Amino acid sequence: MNDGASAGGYAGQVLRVDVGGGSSRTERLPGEWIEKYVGGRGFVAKILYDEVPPGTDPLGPLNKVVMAAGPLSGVFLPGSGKTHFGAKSPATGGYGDSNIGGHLSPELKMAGYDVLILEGAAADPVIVVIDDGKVSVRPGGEYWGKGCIEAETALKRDLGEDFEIAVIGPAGENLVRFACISHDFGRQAGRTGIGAVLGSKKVKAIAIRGTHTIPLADPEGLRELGKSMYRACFSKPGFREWTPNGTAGVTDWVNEIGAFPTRNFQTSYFPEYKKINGDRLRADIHLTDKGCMGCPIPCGKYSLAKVAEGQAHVEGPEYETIAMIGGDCCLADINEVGYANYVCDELGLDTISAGNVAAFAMECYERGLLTEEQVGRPIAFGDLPSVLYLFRKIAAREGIGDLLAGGVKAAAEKIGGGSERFAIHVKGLEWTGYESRYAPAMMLSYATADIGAHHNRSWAITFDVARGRGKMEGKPEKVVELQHVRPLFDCLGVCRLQWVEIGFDLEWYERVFPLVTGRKVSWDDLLRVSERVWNLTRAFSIRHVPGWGRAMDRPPARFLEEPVPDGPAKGHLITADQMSELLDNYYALRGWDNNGRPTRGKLEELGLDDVAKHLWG
Amino acid sequence: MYRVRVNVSGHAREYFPAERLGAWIELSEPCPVARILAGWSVSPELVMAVFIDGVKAGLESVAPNGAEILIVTPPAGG
Ligand code: SF4
Repeated sequence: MNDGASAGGYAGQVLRVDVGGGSSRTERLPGEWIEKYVGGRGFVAKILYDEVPPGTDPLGPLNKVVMAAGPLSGVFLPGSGKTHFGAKSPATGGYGDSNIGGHLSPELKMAGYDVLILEGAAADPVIVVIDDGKVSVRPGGEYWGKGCIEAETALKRDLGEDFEIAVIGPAGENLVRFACISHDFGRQAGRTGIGAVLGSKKVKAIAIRGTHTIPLADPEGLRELGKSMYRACFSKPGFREWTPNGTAGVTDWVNEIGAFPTRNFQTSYFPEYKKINGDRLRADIHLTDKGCMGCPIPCGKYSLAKVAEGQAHVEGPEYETIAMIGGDCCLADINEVGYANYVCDELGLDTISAGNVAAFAMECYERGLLTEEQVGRPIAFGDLPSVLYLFRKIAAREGIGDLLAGGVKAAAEKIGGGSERFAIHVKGLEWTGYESRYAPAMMLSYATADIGAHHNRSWAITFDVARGRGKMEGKPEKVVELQHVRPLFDCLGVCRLQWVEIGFDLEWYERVFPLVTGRKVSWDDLLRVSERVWNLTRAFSIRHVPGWGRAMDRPPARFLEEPVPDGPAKGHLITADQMSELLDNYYALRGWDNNGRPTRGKLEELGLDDVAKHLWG
Repeated sequence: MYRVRVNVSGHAREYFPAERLGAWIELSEPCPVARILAGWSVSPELVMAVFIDGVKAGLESVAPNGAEILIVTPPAGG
């Protein structure tokens, strides 16, 4: 068994901080974790499974926030600035995690740690400061109440520009269940509400400065291969075409195939999409590009958005924000989308869930399920002041905002009147930027993603297009394949966009892994790790949430009952029978039972014997 | 004889015939990009943008003899 401290690519230590008591301690990184879980998302899943017992209140002191680097984080290769956060999710009650770009994990490793675990809860606001081996929990009252960007600016001023900061905004402080963690003035670990878990611990910020060197098995070999990897990125034919617009470049395509969330997913085509697409971003508001550590294809588009209320610098909007605040709330002006993006960023709201929740509220209002008196003013699709009003109320948990701060599932349970049929989520996590009634593989991806409705585990919509959008055959196979490949990047601690966006070849990662770690593993070995982690996160959620299984692997009623009313996907939906067939095949491929529970045999095959005992006795 | 070279960018490259990409292909007469893809049984919906010798074009564009065609597939946004 490898010893964590001697393996290249790892700092070799886990840092635990009791934010209530103010104490901290270090532990050696177990070799078993390296071998079985690799890093990043794998470490997060392992720690949460072992240390957060069923019954834990996601916003109580027994929940933990885990931040983890991967073995490739911070080393000389494209896109190595990725960091993984995790906690029991206040949005779903199940396993929650979210990935963030920037510079956090390299700094954490240079400070001497692969993993940071925050435990307990403070009585008053604090900040956690990690300055190499010196770890302190300090009063943070002066930063509490500030927006994310404002607080990050103040913390850098007070602690030093060379600290890397993760911070929450008012939404996290007020326990909004889709509050994010922010870093690098506009990057977010947005999903599953981990910002609220930090808020429940009264942790405003984590500040890290590291000065050590990350150990490498073969520095010379890595230098040479790293150079080749950058050259390979630059020489990819898509490099020049993708980089100018970043992810926003996909807006036209998603509309043209009829998959763009519009009017709270009532339809899948926004006629004014050319006013909020990548070209408009580039031409109207873009100032410069901004990327994570060592990224040759920076997807961050730093912009200046101007609206009647004022103007603001913002990193973005990227595609998901364009889809959920633009299309789904019907804002047909890239300046408006950019400005609303900025407001979310300061408040510390996940733009995906925030846009989804605002659109849900506007549909409830249109249908008379929410009154002007309840909302506090009229609200309407396409109206920026309505959207900003809702975001601010939610972050403050004032009036209608308190009702909406639990997300669309919780809000629909309170509002009633059939609103649960158009509350667009899976398991309590709001749906993201791909309307999937004419894309069965994508629909299955959302239904089975381990954190609730999320696109990044398996972006299968091009497979739907390539293999026939109405066909069911082969779709579960592709979803399983992607659910292992894509999250593997989150274990490695490296960005996947070089692969998915410009076609950077996967074989590079198999080649670079031994140069960093000294361990030769095949790509198939790594995929096996990813499958193990997938089963572990599934088991976590099954143990924590009654009914987590087939009944919850399900799209909202709107997608099963209402055909798309117009646009390129007009007339299409997925029937309940088709969905059931997709799930049957998916579970069989995974080695799960008919209710979506990993079987004892599958768990033991993956070396998860303890998990098998928990699930099956 | 009409010769063009087709390259594909992005992860959806896997849905194109690998042996054809980056190689010169020969056809009896000039034809639109869409017809080349149809001959490969590739859905035009997989195409986000077309560039001919570095200049933005479209699926109905006919590349000149000896041109390089770049097909950009959709990025997995966000
Ligand atoms: S592509 Fe974007 S998210 Fe990925 S490393 Fe580059 S800047 Fe970061």
